[in-house]
Amino acid sequence: MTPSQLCFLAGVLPGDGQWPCAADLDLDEASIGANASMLQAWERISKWALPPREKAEALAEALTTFERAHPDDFAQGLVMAYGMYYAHPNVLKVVEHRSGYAARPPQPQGHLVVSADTGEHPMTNPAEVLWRNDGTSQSEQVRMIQQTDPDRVWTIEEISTWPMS
Amino acid sequence: MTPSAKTRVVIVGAGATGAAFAWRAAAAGMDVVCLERGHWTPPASTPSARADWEVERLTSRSANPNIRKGVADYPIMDDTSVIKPAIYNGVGGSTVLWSAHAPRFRPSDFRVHSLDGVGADWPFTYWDIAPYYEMNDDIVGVSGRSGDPGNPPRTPRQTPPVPLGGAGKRVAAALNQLGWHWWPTDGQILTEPRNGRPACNGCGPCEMGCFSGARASADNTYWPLALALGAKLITGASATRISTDDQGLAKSVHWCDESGHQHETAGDYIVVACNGIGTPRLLLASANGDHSNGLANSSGQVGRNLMLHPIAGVTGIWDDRVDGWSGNDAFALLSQHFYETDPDRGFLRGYEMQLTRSQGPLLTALGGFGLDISWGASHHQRFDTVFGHSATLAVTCEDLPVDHNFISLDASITDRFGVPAARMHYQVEENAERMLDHGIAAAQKLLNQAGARETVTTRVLPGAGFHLMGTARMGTDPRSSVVDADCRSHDVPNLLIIDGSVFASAAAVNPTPTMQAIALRAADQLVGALS
Ligand SMILES: Cc1cc2nc3c(=O)[nH]c(=O)nc-3n(C[C@H](O)[C@H](O)[C@H](O)COP(=O)(O)OP(=O)(O)OC[C@H]3O[C@@H](n4cnc5c(N)ncnc54)[C@H](O)[C@@H]3O)c2cc1C
Repeated sequence: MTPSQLCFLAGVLPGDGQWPCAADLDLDEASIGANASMLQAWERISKWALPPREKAEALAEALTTFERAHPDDFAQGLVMAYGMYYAHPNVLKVVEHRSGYAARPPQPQGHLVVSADTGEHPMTNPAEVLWRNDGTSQSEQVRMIQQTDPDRVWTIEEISTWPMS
Repeated sequence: MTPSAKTRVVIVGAGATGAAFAWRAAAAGMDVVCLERGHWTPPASTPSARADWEVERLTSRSANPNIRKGVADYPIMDDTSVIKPAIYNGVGGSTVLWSAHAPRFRPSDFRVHSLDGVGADWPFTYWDIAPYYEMNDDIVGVSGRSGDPGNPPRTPRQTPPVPLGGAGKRVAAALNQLGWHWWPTDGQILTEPRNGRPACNGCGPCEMGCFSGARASADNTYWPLALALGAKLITGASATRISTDDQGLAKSVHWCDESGHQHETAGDYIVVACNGIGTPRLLLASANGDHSNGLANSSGQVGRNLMLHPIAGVTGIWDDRVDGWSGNDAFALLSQHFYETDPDRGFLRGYEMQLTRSQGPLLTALGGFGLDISWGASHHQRFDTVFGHSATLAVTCEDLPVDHNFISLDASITDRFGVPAARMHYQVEENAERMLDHGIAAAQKLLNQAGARETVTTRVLPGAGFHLMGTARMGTDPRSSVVDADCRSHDVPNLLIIDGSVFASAAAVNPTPTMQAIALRAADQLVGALS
């Protein structure tokens, strides 16, 4: 990582409380599947003249200027910086601590989803048929049956006779 | 001619529709060969088990082929479109990356001209394809619950619905308070094991590919069945043109393998299933002396009438956690309260609201779904308040066919086999603009009712070019449509087009179950015609 890239990291992710500063993490470009345009932008950022991280205000100001002058490179630089940061095990531990999001990739374990029971919130007015009559005889017939018997269980055989009726 | 091992059907494209057609035609005893420019995508290659999975969602697994730049991808010029293309080229097609939200069109969607005087009617009705929706559901496996009063009845779903999740519970309660329609969404995601596929484990990012196979894609549903019935699938085969004979019939598909060697595969029937961009591209690139405007294009409608669904994203942020990163990310429930035409709203037709969940840390930090998280000193403070605290309502608006939205060829760039790039021309049309205003206001009201502290809005999600419809539309009049009700070209009788290109209207729901139902029906109609 070049000094300018480290300044970029320190400026965009300076850290806050439990959150580490990105420049302190030994981040590694090779650890993420960056594509060519991200790597080229990152290379160009390595040539930006940025104030040292100790001068936080000046660094933020310089970065704002670069963002305006080179919006595409800056945006790609952010993807590089955030990409490395939010895949880093130390950062993921902080994320887990603060949000409950497990510090691991989503697979193979997956995530537990709360509220499996959709029956808990039954639809208001389930007996009111809401789809519009399309002007066909099938529409008339099916709407009438659905209105009077909303809980009826339909079979594929019944549905297959609709085109003929 | 009766359908038999001697009737050779050559399908171009092994995606959602090509796979469904291949299975049905092979089951009827036809000799099926499918040419697919991409390859198999092994589930284990899905990045969601790797630490940098979210970066790959922006690079090698981006849904935008111009960013992904995979070996099978072809150029799509999109600077003339406010919505960018989202497709995948490989066995399974775009369903390799899809979200698997699987609602159906409603009956009125097939009769928009008769009912509302807009767009074009389909040459068949909902009732003609209802059995094919059911057939498709049985093959792919649908989670959900039957009994929705917002739609005609359907059979019991194959597995129970996906969990509502933290935000879903709140939004469902708010919908009840407002008296607005909602229903658990039909999805092609298993919530219980079925036919050798496991139940979804709620990992989140379906749109990178499904690591476990719980989410249906054409490569894990139709293709194994079609191959077992003897269908042949040639991968790495990029069709460059379709040739015709002196009687005006389609003769063969010319294609290149990956080393650039040229091949020609002849068929009794040629079936095009390259999606709403790839299909017009191939037909236009197949222009010849007898078809100077492009194949099957005497109407001039090939490539025209592009419909995409402009989608607004309205994100709610709650004070407490809703754990939006858990569960399949793209749907939990839907509301079709504003689906049918009500002239008092100031627009015709309507929209659907689909509750999606949220994203992982990286995409949240980058401001996905309109979240405004700046870099610098305030970054983490804002991140803490939004990550795991948000969910998004996608407002999916019906698109109407208009002159300024179409696909053309752009010969300034070609793929590596010399076929011109596709160019997408798309601006949101006027009726949909009014619908967006209404839908965004409704979504904000709903999220506020659900207790969201804050809402942020993206008026049109720029990356949402995944519902590709209308570019070779069906109809009864050969002067204004490309194919008939059976998906057969008016001009070239042994040429079929079976993907979303044939849609006469767009409805306001995700289109893939309708595409697959149409492909199955087209196969049956062909078999029926030959018997
Ligand atoms: C990120 C994402 C999310 C989505 N979510 C949903 C959803 O929730 N619900 C929904 O209904 N839909 C969704 N979709 C859309 C859905 O995937 C498509 O509607 C569906 O796959 C279209 O099927 P198809 O057969 O027409 O085309 P595709 O599935 O795109 O398949 C076309 C195939 O043709 C091949 N091909 C193209 N040109 C050639 C050629 N010249 N020679 C040989 N082969 C060729 C391609 O490689 C491709 O494999 C989503 C799509 C994406 C990308």
